[in-house]
Amino acid sequence: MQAIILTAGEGARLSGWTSNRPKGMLNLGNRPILEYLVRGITDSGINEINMVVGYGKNSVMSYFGDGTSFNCKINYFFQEERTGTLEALRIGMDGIRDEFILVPGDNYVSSKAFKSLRKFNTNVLLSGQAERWSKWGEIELVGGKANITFENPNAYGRIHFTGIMKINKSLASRLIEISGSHLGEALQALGSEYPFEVVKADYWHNVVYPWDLISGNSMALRDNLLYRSGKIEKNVSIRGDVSIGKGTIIRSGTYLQGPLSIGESCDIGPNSVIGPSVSIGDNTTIGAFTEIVDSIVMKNCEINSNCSLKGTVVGDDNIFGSHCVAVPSTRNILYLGQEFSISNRGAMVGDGCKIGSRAVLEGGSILLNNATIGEGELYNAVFQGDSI
Amino acid sequence: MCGIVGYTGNKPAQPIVLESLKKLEYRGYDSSGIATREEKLIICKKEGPIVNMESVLPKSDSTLAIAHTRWATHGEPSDVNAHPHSNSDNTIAIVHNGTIDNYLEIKENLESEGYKFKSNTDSEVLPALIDKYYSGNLVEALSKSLEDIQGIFTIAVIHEDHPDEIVAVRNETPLVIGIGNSENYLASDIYAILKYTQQIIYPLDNQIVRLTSKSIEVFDDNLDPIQYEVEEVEKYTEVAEKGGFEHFMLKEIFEQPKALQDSLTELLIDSPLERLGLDWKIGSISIVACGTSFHAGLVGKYVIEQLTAIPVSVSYSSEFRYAAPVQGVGGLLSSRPLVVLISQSGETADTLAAARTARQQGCHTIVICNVPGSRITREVDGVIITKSGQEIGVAATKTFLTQMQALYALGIHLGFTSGSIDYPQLKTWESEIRKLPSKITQVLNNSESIKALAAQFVNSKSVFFVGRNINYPLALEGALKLKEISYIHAEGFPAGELKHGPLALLSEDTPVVAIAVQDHTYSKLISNIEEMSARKTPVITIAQKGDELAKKVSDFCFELPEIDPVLSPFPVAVFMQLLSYYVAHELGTEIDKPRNLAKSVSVE
Repeated sequence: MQAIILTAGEGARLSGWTSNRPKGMLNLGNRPILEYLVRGITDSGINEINMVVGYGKNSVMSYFGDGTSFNCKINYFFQEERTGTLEALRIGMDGIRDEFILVPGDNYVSSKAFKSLRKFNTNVLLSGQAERWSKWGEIELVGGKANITFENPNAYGRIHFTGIMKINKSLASRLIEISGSHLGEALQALGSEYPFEVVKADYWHNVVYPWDLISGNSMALRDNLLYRSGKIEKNVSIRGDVSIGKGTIIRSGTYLQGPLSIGESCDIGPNSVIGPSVSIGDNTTIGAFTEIVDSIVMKNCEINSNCSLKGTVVGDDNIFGSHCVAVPSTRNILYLGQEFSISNRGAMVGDGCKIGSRAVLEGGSILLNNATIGEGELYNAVFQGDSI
Repeated sequence: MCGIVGYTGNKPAQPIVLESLKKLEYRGYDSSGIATREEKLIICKKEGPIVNMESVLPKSDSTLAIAHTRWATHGEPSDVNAHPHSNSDNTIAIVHNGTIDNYLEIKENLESEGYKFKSNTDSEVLPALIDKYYSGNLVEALSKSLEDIQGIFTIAVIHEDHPDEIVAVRNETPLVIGIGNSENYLASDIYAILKYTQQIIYPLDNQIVRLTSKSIEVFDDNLDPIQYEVEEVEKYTEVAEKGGFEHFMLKEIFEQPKALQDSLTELLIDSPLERLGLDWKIGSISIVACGTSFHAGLVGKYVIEQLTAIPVSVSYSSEFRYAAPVQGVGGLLSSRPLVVLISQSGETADTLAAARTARQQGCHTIVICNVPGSRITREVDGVIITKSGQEIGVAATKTFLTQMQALYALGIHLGFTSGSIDYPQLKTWESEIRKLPSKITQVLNNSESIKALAAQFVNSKSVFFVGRNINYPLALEGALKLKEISYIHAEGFPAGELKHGPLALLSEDTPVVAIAVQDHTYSKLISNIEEMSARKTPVITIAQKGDELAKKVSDFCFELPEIDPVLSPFPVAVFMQLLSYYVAHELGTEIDKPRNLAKSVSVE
């Protein structure tokens, strides 16, 4: 059996974090979302993957190479224009012999899901419990048949289609013949012609908005790869599942609470408190007396002393001065012209921002790329743009 | 130059040696060949890249094989001159990397004894000699043959009567032995066999090695078996496949953020000085290298002098080794000199010889090298390994960046211990160096604009690159990259030198690439650009973000990410690489295997 991963899209609703890479290359638990998918697929015994890449394709290709390091063979196909998931499927069909698993690259699902798909001989849809509407629609079982609908406005807790499915070549060619650009709609149009089995994923996370990264991260840390290298000074406390990458130094008096993943070449402490549910990307420095909980700090950041970050996303290349605070709150925010109710989230900071010392970022505030917050400022709005 | 591999074990050898050989193709691609044994020895060889040979290769289940990919030194590339070579009755097959200096003499002697030669290579004397001395023991025959030959070589031999045995020896050129489970490997470098084993033996010069599927024996000059050391090499999973990229060069350009990231650890977090034995007052530094590494060295000169106030000189390896000592090491007799050698492969013949010269003269030597366990790392006092991974494209890309990174790191640590920079400055530098991977990523994300620019260069007869101060070496590197893969004539100059000659060459058909970062030479560079524009020469400027003046004076302006001018060589280098790549791509040249060139120049 083969697999096709569609990862050509940009992820516009995460634009502060996807200016340099497709959504699938965002790190959760210090590994790209795509890596969880690739590993899940290969663990289920599939070793040939067609990857449809487009936006930020170089970052995908340099990471996965020809697949050898992931025990599979990866072939790349290019979708340069944004012509939708149906077209992506058509491009990715090259060399597909019969049955295959189709995976949109922005899902995070338990790796066991792929094994359970393979247990069936028929076409299978993978479903999951939704937090909100996914673009793939809800799955209703009517008279033993799976129906995809887009009707019920209230999605929370209901069973939705993840977009991941196992289908055969003939169904795929039927889908491609249907006009339109969205695979989910094509599937709905095909209606009840094809019988589908439905399998539910243990857990599923559909990363769409910045605040999804926090819950995605804590979910991904369940699959935390436990490695411990680097240099750990005296009097460092380590509790729970903590991975520390090579070349990282953890300085004295630091308290690390798992699940926690720290990347390579980081410099942490002294006397910092990090975790639980935190990912720290490669090459990031965290100063003395800083506390980070339930957050993602991506690559190449510099977080200075005495900061407190909770429920917060910090993109690549950010600099936080001393005594910065970003703590969670629950409130309604306006993002990309839509109102959202977010609960218990801190600040969402894009790539390349500079946050001055003693700045306070209120819970739910969003900063996109290259923003600057002055010293001692209080910030609580949604901000889009390249400078302030 | 020239790659060899060998396998003896319990599996069909052909696919294994073919795969390994392909990883060595960067060492030469004029011709290739393979020798296997089933009852008799079967040799298949073909001119051109390995795929040519593969297409005519008969299937074989032999569990013994040696193979070779050639970069021609003696005798043109042809089927006949390709390796393996055999003796007249095809009972002995050899592969050889290197040169036999006295082969004409040996050939005449053997011919007078009635031996008939098939090819005009130096290598063919080897099977003839081994045949002459063979009396049942291949090790003895090889050992006796070695007494007759002078030169540099790695040789691997198989014989029809020994279905399970390869005998190999090296002198000056590389050879590594890999230990498997009931199977053993040999190759020119570890990357060729790392897929199969991480247990490596590095034989010394003139030690003869006998590999069978079950055993490995190493013999000294008197053919007494000696103890050998087995080293465990870090597993390296990245492989020699292009993974979606059109060329290895492009793949390697895009791997640069990772290469810098991976090399960072050992350079910054722990000061490398103690490890390198540099805990004394250094009077002067000589950097010695060839090609692209030389340009990295030139950048290193500017940085180290700025950070440490120690005088630094940079020499080509091939010149350094023949220079009078006092000139070669920039004041050998004044105080203790440090010699920093740079070699991607660690096998570069000239750099290796330069290292020996320097040590003879009592200098402390350290090497910046990308291949752990390579020859040069065994002959110097200290080693910095850059973690670029294997570089296959002949045009150096990621190793250039990591070499510069190593020199910057060396500079800041030397500067700090000598007191020329203080602790906060050290921290600022460290933080700036940490940011390089993301700065490089920003340039890579702009590759489309560089691609669009490349079309302008396609019809140019000549292209000139100019820069000042720390970016002068980048002008040289830009020119080198362009000429080596696109075959367009290109030269790099210090911008201030234009008026002293090269300006005469400029016209509307000779684009100039000018590097104009805002350091203390900026205003001078801008007036240089204006001088060139006045001659109607198209000027492409590389400038810092938001530099309106540079935009105004030039025909095209590429904006670097926000960066301290002293670190600008990193993103500038990436621009140069991408520009050369896309120009060559437009012209349709063999980007990964430029004509006449090979990587890892192990001949002088």
